[in-house]
Amino acid sequence: MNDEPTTSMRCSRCDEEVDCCSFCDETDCPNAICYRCTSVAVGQIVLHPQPHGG
Amino acid sequence: MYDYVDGNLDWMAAGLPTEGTNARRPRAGDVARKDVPVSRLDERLGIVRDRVRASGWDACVVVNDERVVLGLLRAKELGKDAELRIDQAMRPGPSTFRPFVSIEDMAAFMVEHDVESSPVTTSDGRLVGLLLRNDAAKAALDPGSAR
Repeated sequence: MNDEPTTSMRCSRCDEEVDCCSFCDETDCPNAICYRCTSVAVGQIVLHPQPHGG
Repeated sequence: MYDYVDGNLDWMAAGLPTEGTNARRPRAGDVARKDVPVSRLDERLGIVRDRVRASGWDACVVVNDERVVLGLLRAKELGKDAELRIDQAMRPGPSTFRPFVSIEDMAAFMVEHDVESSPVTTSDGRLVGLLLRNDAAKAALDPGSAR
């Protein structure tokens, strides 16, 4: 069993736990951001408030 | 009826023309360098490094036969042992961005995260070009310079 403490990173926007920063791929990024927040921020994901499109 | 909104993003992600006010603003795909050197997984790093530096670059995108991005070699990876195969030296599965992403957003993120270059790809992962931070910052400050 591995008793070593694990260091976790959290998304700076939604606080979701992440393995690495989704923008720079670094594991020690001080401004880490998750994939979903990155995608929303740059417009690669469009959030759908209603699945039927209104 | 199902409104397939993602179709619009796929259209723009393929680099196809758009209309409207925002269409005149530079995007990641407009500014990305299309002449970025590429390499294959099974090449040796030393050979690739010589080729990349001879062409005046310090970055190289690793692609397959369909030009799907598999990895990235920035200056740090290019400085590794010359005998390594590319798949041993590269940064695998780098974050990629679609061509329609606003250059202002990309510039801000690249500065905030201290990223020197980011691959721009279509929705199916094919390489469009490599966006350099300096190019992105310049285009964000002076949109007219990008086109």
